[in-house]
Amino acid sequence: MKDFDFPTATDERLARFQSLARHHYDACSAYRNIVDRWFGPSALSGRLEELPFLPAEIFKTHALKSVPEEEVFKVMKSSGTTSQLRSQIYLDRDTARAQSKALSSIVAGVLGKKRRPMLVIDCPAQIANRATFSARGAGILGFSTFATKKFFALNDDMSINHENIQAFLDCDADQSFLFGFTAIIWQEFLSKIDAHSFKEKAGAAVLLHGGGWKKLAAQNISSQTFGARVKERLPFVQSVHDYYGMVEQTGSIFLGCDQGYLHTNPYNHIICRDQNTLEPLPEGETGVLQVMSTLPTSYPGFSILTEDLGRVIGPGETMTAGVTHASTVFEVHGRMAQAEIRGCSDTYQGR
Amino acid sequence: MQELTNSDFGNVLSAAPMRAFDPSVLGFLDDVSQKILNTSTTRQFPDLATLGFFLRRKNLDRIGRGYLGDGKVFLMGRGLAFHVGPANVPLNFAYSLVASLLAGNPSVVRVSSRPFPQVDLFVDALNAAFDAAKMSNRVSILRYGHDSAMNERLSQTCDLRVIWGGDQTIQTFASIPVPARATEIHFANRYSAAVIDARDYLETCEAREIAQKFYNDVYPFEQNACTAPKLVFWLGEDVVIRQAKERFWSELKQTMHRAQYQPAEGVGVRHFKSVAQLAVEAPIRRSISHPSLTVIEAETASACRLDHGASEGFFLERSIQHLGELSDALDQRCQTLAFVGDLKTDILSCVAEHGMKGVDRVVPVGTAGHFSFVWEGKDLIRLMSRSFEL
Repeated sequence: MKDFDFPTATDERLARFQSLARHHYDACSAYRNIVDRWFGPSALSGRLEELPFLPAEIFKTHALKSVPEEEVFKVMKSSGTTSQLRSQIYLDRDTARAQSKALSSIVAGVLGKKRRPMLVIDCPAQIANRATFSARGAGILGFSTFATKKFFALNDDMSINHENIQAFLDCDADQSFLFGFTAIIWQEFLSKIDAHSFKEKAGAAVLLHGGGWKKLAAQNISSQTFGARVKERLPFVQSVHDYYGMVEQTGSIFLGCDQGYLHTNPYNHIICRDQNTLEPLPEGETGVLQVMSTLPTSYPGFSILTEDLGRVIGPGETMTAGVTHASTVFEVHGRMAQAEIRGCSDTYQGR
Repeated sequence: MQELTNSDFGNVLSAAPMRAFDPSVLGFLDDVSQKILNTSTTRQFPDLATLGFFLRRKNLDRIGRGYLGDGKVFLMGRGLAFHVGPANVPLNFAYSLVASLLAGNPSVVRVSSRPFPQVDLFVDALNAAFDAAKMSNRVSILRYGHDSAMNERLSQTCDLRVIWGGDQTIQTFASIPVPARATEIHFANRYSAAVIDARDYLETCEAREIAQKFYNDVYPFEQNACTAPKLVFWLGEDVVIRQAKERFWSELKQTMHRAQYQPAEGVGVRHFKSVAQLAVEAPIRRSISHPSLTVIEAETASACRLDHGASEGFFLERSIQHLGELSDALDQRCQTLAFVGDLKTDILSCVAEHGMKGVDRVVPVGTAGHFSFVWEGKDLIRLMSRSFEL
């Protein structure tokens, strides 16, 4: 039985990425301009690391679409916390459907196919107002689809909501999961509880977290330290999984293993490039990460040069849609150092 | 607020103007010059050394004679000067201060909060020279954040306000009035270009020296100074231009190599972001892609984006057959046009013929960053003083 639709063999994946490149080249003039004027059209049929990529920033400054306006079904916007401009991602029904299907397959690798009770390690205010959703709110809602029932572990003032947590612990289910943003879990939750706070829980639980390491990296906290602390404070948590994703590639997230490393899966690919030459780097060397997704057809976001630093560690294995696949293991270290923006215009930086 | 100099701030605010090129000021600046040039660490900062040479008595005397016309002109300061320095070129404020002191004005400078060792060394030299000349009553260098109270106080008190750099800074200060009779000097966002006579470049025996000079115009401040060329125009016939380009960019790469220029980490990503932004909208073609040297050919005049915003060795280049084509690309935002070849008179004719609002400086390549008291066509000493014909 084949109930998943992703390319598995290496050459199938290459063909998929090449056909995406060709599709966007034909359908999106902005994409075509960048390819023609910088990469050259021959890059469209190149090897994975030769295929064109776009800077993530371009989705903030330009409306890039590969479908006619009338087929746009939803426009997703990034949270735009660090700059005024927000990414705008144009989805048609096909891409939106492919995204949610991919997310289910990937998450099923750790949660299985059955829905479970969910403990959100955040406050309800994050999803109270749909108009002002943050990335946190969007993440909570996205992962709520895997929940039978959700409980918020924090009150709106970020204090611990013991009643909700107790209700979650008392849930009669052999499987459950916890979800939250890495920095919130560390700063607002783990720091306020101890190993005796919530000891007993029937059934196994899995913790999923994402949102980046910027804050924790500044405190020298690795994903391994994070995982160990979670299991110490919440003894019923069986495994801890980081995920790495971005609004430009919703759905095809990179999921971490319990050892604290990220893995590619059949929906995505990772390339690490030298920050100065943009040449692909060998395993083990730190550079800027390029993320690829097999999903986007309505906007040309299938290959994006991020501003995140990281390194490829080596080959590994990952479970997607109930099947074990070969994967590439990597880690993300945090954002690139910002160049000092220097110009005659910045006497008066910021406010 | 942090006062970098050991000044008597209150005294500076109430100090009186004096004659321009007063011997006490010339002596003080000469003293500062010697302190700078006798400090061993100065050697690490070519811009500081340049300032040290500029401040020598001999040089300033010569400049003074030019202004005072052998006693035919009497120049007198206007009063308290308030300078807002830029953040991109560490010692730019020093030249503004020197012009102001020479013009006879007690001066307060707000320097950028960005730390630069050159700034500290210059301040040390001022402090060390203060006592002998009693200049601590006439100079104060301040560093403060977005303290609008201090901006207001200085703006309301000053007779002359000089704002270096930034449309946004000028905008911010527009809401902080100076007294009606005060003089204001603004330096807005500006961009620079270079024009190279292709045949001249190929025929010169200084191909390497010219690349070295261009390097000096661009790389010391990672192409962030407003004087650093961002566009390069090639003048001549296509076949000659092709050869000249090849030679020039290759010499520039070798210059970088010899100078052991180290790009800041991530330059490739930043250049690629700029390329993508340009490529979406403008017809361009990749010429050179090398860390810390990205060259893009503009296929139309309108693709020559003077404000492309990229730095750290990012150039748009365009071939032209006549200088007149410059007027399509260089608008009022163009500050400096550096040239290679015997082009100065022709450039000035072109500026006149096309009624160009931009191009305020036309200088040989290698001198784009050199300071002059006539800056962007504004004579700072004259604007900062009152002149009387005798």
